[in-house]
Amino acid sequence: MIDFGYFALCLALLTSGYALLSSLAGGRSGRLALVRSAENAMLATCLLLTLAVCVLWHALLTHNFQVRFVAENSNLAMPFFYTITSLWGGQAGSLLFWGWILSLYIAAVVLVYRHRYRELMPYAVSVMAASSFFFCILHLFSADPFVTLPFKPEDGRGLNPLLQQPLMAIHPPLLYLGMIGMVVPFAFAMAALGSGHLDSTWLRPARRWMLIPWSFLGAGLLLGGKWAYVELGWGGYWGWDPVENSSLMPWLAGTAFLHSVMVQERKGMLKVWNMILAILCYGLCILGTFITRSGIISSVHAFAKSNIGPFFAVFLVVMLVASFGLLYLRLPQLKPENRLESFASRETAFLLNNWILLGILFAVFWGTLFPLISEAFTGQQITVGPPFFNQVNVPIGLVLILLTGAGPLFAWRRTSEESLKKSFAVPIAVGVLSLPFLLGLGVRDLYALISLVLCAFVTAAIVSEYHAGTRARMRSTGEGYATALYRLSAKNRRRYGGYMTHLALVLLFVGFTGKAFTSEVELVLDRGETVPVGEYELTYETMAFKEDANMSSTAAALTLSRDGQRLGTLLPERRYYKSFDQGTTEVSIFSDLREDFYLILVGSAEDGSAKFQVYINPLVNFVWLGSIVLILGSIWAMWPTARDRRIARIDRSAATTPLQPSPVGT
Amino acid sequence: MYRHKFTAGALVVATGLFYLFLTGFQQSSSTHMTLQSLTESAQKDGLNGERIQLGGSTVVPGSIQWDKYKSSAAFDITDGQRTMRVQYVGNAVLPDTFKDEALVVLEGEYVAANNSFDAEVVFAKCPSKYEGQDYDGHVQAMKNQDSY
Repeated sequence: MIDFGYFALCLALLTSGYALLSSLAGGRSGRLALVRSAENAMLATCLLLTLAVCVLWHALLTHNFQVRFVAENSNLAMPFFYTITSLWGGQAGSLLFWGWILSLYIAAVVLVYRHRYRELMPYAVSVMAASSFFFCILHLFSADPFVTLPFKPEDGRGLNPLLQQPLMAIHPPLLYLGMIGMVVPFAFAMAALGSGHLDSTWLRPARRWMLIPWSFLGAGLLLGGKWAYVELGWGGYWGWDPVENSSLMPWLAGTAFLHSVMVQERKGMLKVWNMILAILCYGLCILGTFITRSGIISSVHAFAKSNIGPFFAVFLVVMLVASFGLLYLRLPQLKPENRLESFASRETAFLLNNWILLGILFAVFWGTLFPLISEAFTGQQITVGPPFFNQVNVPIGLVLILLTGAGPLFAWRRTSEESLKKSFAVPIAVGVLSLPFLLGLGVRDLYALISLVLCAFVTAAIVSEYHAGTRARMRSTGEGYATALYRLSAKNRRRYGGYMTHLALVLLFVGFTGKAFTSEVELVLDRGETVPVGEYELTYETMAFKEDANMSSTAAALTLSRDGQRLGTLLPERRYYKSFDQGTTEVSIFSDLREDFYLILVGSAEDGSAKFQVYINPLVNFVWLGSIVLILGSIWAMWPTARDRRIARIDRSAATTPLQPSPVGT
Repeated sequence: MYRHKFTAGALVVATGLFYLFLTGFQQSSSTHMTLQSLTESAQKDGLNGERIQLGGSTVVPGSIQWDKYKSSAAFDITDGQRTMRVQYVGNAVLPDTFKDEALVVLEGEYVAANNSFDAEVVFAKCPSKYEGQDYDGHVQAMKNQDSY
């Protein structure tokens, strides 16, 4: 059975290698049959990798501990759900999972564009096949998931209890769906360069296939933050750790891309820039994987060192040299069709948006890789911590949020003074009016004030866009407000889905701003004691001990009240998992929209007293709220409209209708 | 004319960013060292007050001395050749992965007076995942154990 899996990997290496070569050959020679066979070869690769993954899953589910991966990452006591998710619990399995998802993406692109983009597909398939080929090499030569042990252990090692959390189980798949998918826009960029079709055709598939991974990546990032907040017990959700930053950087580049493509689509500008961004997105994904798996930069995320670093490093270098080289060759053909005419234009806003996003990207990149850079120059590894990232990124972020509101209010080419006054009046008024309101609430921190005023401004700007659009539609169609609003959003999904994600960004920023007001306190309480904590009263009621075969736990019960009103019972816990010699902290949180009361049981003494740590995290739930709105907005934007379907139908029939010979004489 | 305004604006922004970069660096950069390099540097010039990130050491088994409520600890670290005493002086709860033989990365200051380290931050990694290293030893270890 295991041999089938290994054999499938060998075949997949061959099929992806074949596809890489024949697609390229078919594209250059114009022989469509070669291209078709290459596409079919990638479909076969997908089937083979699916087979390999199923074999590994089968080994996991039947507890075949003779397979080393199964022995290291699962055990008999593991619940069914976590046995499934243990597929990506170790290096070899997670790489196979990665290769499988990659093959699924490629198969989807091949099938969806079966009859479309025929000039671009040969090269796009070739590039995607190259990526798949690389991962097949990894599966076979660096991290073979099917290695067997010379004996069969009685039981496996299992998964660290810190990772046996539903959130943690789906965090890697979401991130993978994000990082892996960015190969598709890259492939289409390369296809445009390779085929010479340098107009805006490549943008259409690239944009759609950037939005999908970008959404997954965003969801994965926020989910990871939620897990850290709920599970790790340090009161925060983002630590600017190198591995965290590795997945943030492609997301920033992707956001820049999603905006700048609109400029090329409308005005034929930024052609070279969009190419660079597509290369950057994919390059950052590979860099991110390299940083994460090679252990080259010390990180909290404990991935063991392995020999896989050099493979990724070489792949990254080859990819960058080849893609920038191709871009350089095509540079003369990528001239802009228009120029920037006015500062008060949407083009300028998008340009600024890109600069800002890349500014943040640069800061994160520099801060993350500084240990390596400093070591190369001074021989000493110097690291920078969260204060650096916060200090640099907060001001840039504030400009970003300002632009999020202001950008859509500008018109293409040039916005007249009259139009500016009309669009900006209400949002500015709302922003200005919010200032005394915030000061009245007691907000004094400068950054927090600016942030919240801007959030008010942006919310008003977004709402006014929806409102203006709805009113215009009502006038022309006579529909009621709600119908007009819905139809408006449904017909212009990209725009109004985009506005929804902007609204999500505002919510996220409100949540982030709350960090300026976080307070923390340590308490030692005796049983029955009540203590005031800020506006709350906390009563330590009792402590309970529990023990079973797997773990022992110490749980405290506390009552939380505010203004004499009982809010709830908090049950912070400390657990100890015997077979892993691993303790975990189970945080207890009381949440409402205003703030979180975040309680940790630090430890207890024999006399029944216990030490607790409390974090009051204002506005943190806006982050989770913003996450949900972000996902909804992305789905809304991605959903194909009737117009998309019509265009696809026309493309397909044009591609499949045989050419009619024109009558003689015409 | 636009060009000049543009360039001027860009320069102002760039200068501002540069300033933020520099101060951010100064505030939070720490030099990465190992026990070996730390000992060598300490002998040479004392390292007064410099922020250090100390990596590559593990917690000496049995050396962890918790305070009454397990909110802080003093422990020894070793790189196989030297050992050093560490006192945790940070605010947050110590990570769940902190225990005997854990691989730790510490951030803090070296205390020359008693050749110890005051750690403000402790990162701990689980030592039990050893993919890619010593496959044969690993297999032998698995053979000798009933469970893991």
